[in-house]
Amino acid sequence: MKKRVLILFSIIPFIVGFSVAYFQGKPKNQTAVFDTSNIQPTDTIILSNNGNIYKLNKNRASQITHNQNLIEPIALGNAIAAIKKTTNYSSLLLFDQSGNKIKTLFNGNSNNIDTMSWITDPAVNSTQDRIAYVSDKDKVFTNVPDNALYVLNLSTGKSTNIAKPDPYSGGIAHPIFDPSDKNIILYDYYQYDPKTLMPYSAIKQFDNASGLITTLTYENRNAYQASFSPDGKKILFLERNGDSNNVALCIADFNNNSGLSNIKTLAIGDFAYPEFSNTKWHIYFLQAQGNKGYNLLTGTVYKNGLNNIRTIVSGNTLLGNSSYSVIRNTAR
Amino acid sequence: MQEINTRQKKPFFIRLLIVIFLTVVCFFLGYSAYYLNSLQRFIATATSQHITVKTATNITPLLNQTNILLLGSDNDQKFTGNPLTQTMMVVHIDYAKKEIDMFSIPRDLWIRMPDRKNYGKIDQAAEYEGIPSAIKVVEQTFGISIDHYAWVGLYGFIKSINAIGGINLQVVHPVLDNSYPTDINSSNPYGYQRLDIQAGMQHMTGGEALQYVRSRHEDLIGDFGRTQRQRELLLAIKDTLFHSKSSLLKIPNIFNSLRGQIKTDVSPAFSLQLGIFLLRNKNIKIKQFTLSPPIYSSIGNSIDGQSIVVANASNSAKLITQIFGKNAGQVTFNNLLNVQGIAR
Repeated sequence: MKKRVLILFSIIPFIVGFSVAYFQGKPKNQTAVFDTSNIQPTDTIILSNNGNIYKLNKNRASQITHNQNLIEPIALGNAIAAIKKTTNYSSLLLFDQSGNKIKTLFNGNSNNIDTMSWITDPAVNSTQDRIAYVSDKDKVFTNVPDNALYVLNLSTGKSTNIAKPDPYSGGIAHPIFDPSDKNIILYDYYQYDPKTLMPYSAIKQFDNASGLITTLTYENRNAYQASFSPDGKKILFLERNGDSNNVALCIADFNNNSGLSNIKTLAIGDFAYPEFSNTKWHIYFLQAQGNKGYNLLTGTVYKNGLNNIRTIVSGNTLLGNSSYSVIRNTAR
Repeated sequence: MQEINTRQKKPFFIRLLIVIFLTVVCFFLGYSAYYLNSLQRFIATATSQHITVKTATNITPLLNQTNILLLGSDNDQKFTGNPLTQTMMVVHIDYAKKEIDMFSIPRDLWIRMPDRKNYGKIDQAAEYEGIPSAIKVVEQTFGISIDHYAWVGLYGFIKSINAIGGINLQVVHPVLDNSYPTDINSSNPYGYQRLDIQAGMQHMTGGEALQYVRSRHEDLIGDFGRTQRQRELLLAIKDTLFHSKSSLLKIPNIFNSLRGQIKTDVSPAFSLQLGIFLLRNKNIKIKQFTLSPPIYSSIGNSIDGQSIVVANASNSAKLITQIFGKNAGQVTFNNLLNVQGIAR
């Protein structure tokens, strides 16, 4: 009798141990958790999470769109523009505050797979009458498949080609307008080093007033994803750091005549898309902890580093590509 | 005569301690049983194609070093017979120096086929006798000893990445592809789709990671760009699996997912030994090499019109010497010099 009890008693922890090992190895479904109290009172953030757009301020997080598979949202006055990406093309759509579609700003669907287009990385200027974006829409004419840089005039609905890519090298990405000078656009320009055949990115500056393109960073920096401070005097950007998944989050002074100076590394980690707050010295960024999706965090630039780092969206559900933007209060 | 029971009952707290101890032991036995069960079932399928190839008589295995040949094939529903090995990479581990070299072999490298008079692309060797031919061609062309191999097909690749919960990757430049094959779980395996993978840090599923490392269209450096992305992915997998000891909890799940999807002769003991080595040397120096143009090769055409990579024998031999030692370099030079069948 005693033996039977002993065997029965030992089977239970054995089964529990087996089950624990089974469930520990299974990937877990993550859901986003919002802690908006860490957002600066000056800021409103538009965010894409699982294809739904949310508006976040210090007091609340409200969902604007439902099940429309939207990414890369930007504010356009009281409306929101966002990219809808499908298997073979993407489009730029405009929504009102209730999430109702107002109109299509760019349609990538030509109904023929060979002439369909991608549109990526929309950015609005300070006067809210132009949207910069990158696209492969002219590939049939240029015979270059990579994304080129365009500016869409919202009054006329016409797009102008601003910069061409280095052919077959990755193309152009992530344009941003200087909030203090609407003629200035910065963008990432991908190319191969002709000697090592290693790809790298340079941040370039386009001046619409002069038509000049200036290179701000070179191969040694391998820099990308720049963003302006509200006064246009500083930029944040990322710098690739060897082969690892860690990148450097950098800050620099910007002058549209003399380029970048006083470049400092604030932190090293699995970062993406840093953006300035409307409150001085505060920034937002995406960061992954380990092999997971991304969270939205905020921090304060202090001396040569970041402190007071806090989480706004946790749950590792955000995409590493631009899934949020900070609405600027400095529209001119 | 009546037997007298002289045994005394143990105090309560001693009995309680024994019960707790046995409970913990049973718990860990159950926990371990799951790991062992997963491992045993994985090995039963993974090692179904055990291969011993040591064809080159002048090659001796190196002490304190291991060469593992990683092979990848497009084994989708379009193909029958032995698939080509579009991905060929030798991972050279030097335990004493604590260094790892990753040497990608261009799939279009034009070589003399082992035991045959004809010339061809190195990835075609596997068409003859499968993996043994692929191992043989690498050993004979470069004069190195392959100690172990691991082969994975498209579905196995997707499952392995999904099993570790996806992968965080630094996409070094945007990848646009207007004719990526739709040959995975598709009603039309000869169809194509468009790809747009943006630059920067991203968390990818197995399917997305496959697109990233498999796409080779629209790239200035063609297949070399693809091998570069494959090495990036391997580094990211290494970082993921050996970032912390908690990652080891995922191992049974990985084994379960890969059952029947991978072929290898790597033993559980060697896997464990390698895992411990990588855990202890998280910041191990990893160098990447390939026979890229213009220094180590040039892009050309074969007489029958195929686009091929022609090695610069002298420079390639120097690179192989640097990675695998002097003898290997000499064999490489002899084998890559004066290859025939190239349109001049």
